[in-house]
Amino acid sequence: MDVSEAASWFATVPLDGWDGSQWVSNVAYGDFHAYDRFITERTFGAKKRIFLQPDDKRLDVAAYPVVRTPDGKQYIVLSDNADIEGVSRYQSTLLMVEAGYSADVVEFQTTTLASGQQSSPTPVTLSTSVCDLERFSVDKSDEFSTVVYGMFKIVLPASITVDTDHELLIDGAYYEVQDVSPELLAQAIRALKRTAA
Amino acid sequence: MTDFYEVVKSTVDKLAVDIANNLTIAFVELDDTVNVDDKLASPADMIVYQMVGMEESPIDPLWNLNIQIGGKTTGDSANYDLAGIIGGVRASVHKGATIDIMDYSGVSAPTVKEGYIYLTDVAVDPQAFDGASGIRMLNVNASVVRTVL
Repeated sequence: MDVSEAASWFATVPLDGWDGSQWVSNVAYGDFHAYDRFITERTFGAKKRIFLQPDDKRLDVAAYPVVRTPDGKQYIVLSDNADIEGVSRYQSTLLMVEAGYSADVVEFQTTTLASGQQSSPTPVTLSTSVCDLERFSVDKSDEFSTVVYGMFKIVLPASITVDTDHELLIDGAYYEVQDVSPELLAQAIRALKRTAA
Repeated sequence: MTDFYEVVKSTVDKLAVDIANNLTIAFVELDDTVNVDDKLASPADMIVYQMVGMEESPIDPLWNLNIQIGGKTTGDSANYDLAGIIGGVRASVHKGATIDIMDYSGVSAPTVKEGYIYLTDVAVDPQAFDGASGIRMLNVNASVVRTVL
């Protein structure tokens, strides 16, 4: 049997795609695989999932960086790997991370006053996106030995503009963006949790 | 009505920013905890200032004011750049100079004079050294009178 037929046989899970402004139904079909739970990284199986899809039903990852499964969970697509037999692609494997949070990308903007000084910064929301939030380390204060900060890794779709002048507002707390790095189809933010809003 | 202290503070800000603009360099207020670390760490020449204190003397509407204003330079081995900045500051900040007090704390330019600052004592302090930068300040004492009560 052609392997592409086997891939099609199991492609029963539809995905809705977020095109940046609205959900588009059934943009791809495939199936989740249970073996992702046995991959050693701690987030695999719990938040990171592997989704196999036949070539003729695969997701346009450029158009839909965020997808939704029938149970309502949203995922950010991290990578799209081709499975090739001979010279032809018969299936692709998506690596996706569950996006259980919503992040506002906030810029603190100031106004030049009559004195020439700047006004107090006020937060302005530039964009909003689903994201994954994971605390991965602590950082010690440079000035106070007893103070430690929570450092977080936040995964956002690559289409969201973020830089180190911005902060992310997630669940009522501000996260100062320390570093932005592209990570295949998404982007990983290293951020410092600052305050409760 | 804006508090008189805030009005004077905004006038001091305006004085420092105007001097920086005339010299086409940046400025930093030492009490600006949001930006002071980044600005002092930068290699750019800038006006450095601080409103040190203001108290009634003996009672409102007469006040004493103390400010410090000067310059910061980096990579200035002979300190001539810094001396030039101090000269630029002294052109506006010298004994006997008067400055109109207006409320510059808003977005719109003010139109009402609320008092005067009269500079009674201006002294150049010893130069300080902050990492790669040299900083020299003028210690300025002034008498202030509030005319809008």
